Amino acid sequence: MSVLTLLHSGAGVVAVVGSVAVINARMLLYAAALEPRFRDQSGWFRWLAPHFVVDPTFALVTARDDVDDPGTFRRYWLAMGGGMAVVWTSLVGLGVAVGPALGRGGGVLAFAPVAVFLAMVAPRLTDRPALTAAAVAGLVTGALAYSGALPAGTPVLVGAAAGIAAATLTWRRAA
Amino acid sequence: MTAILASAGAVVVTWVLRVLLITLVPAARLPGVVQRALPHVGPATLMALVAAALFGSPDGVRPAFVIAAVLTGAVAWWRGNVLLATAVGLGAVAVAGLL
Repeated sequence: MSVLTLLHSGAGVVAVVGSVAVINARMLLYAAALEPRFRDQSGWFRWLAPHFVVDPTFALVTARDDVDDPGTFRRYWLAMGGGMAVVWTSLVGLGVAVGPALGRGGGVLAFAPVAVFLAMVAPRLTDRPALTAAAVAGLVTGALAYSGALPAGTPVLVGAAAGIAAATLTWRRAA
Repeated sequence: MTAILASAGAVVVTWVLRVLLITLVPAARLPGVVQRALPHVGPATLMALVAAALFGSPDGVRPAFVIAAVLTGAVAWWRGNVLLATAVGLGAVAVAGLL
């Protein structure tokens, strides 16, 4: 999506690739957090399966503690990632086809990603570090995004880093 | 040609970002302080995405979305049900649109 938007606005190759790197930099964080689950997998899986690391797969897999076994994780990850790729692509096609006919309904659906991410993260906010991470990340990102001072994707990266740092300090003091 | 090169570059960059700390330099080799920070990636990043969507929209901040987000978060935290919380949030936006 960002590639198409940037190309449409006349950006060059370096600007497009650089922007994509910033917007997707959170995948680096996701990958680091998921690494223990990939550790005992075979080579092909560790090289190819990270392709499925996206926001929803990260949120779903980190909410489960019953897929730690390597075989179970491998089956779960491939089924979830493959299924999500098919559904995602199909829904994008469906959205292009029927989106203009939705009218005001489209405005409601624009809230769907926010609702889903909130619904997945809220039940996890059960201890002080998690609350700290979410609160600081939300406040910093919200302020930066509202100000419009940074390029697209950067507020999320800076806000998430601030939340992670704050929670890590809280955890260390509590420990 | 620009489109092909940009797309190819984007593919390589996004793939490297995903395999870098899984396959190339496994996170287990990172310093202790970084490893202690990893459990906080989920809550921080997901909440950052929510905040960016609520407050960084090109259309400006939509009060209906903010109210619906509070309701969604409250229901999800109270009941732990993703579908119910999502439905409540979407319903709140729909009702706000009718008012």
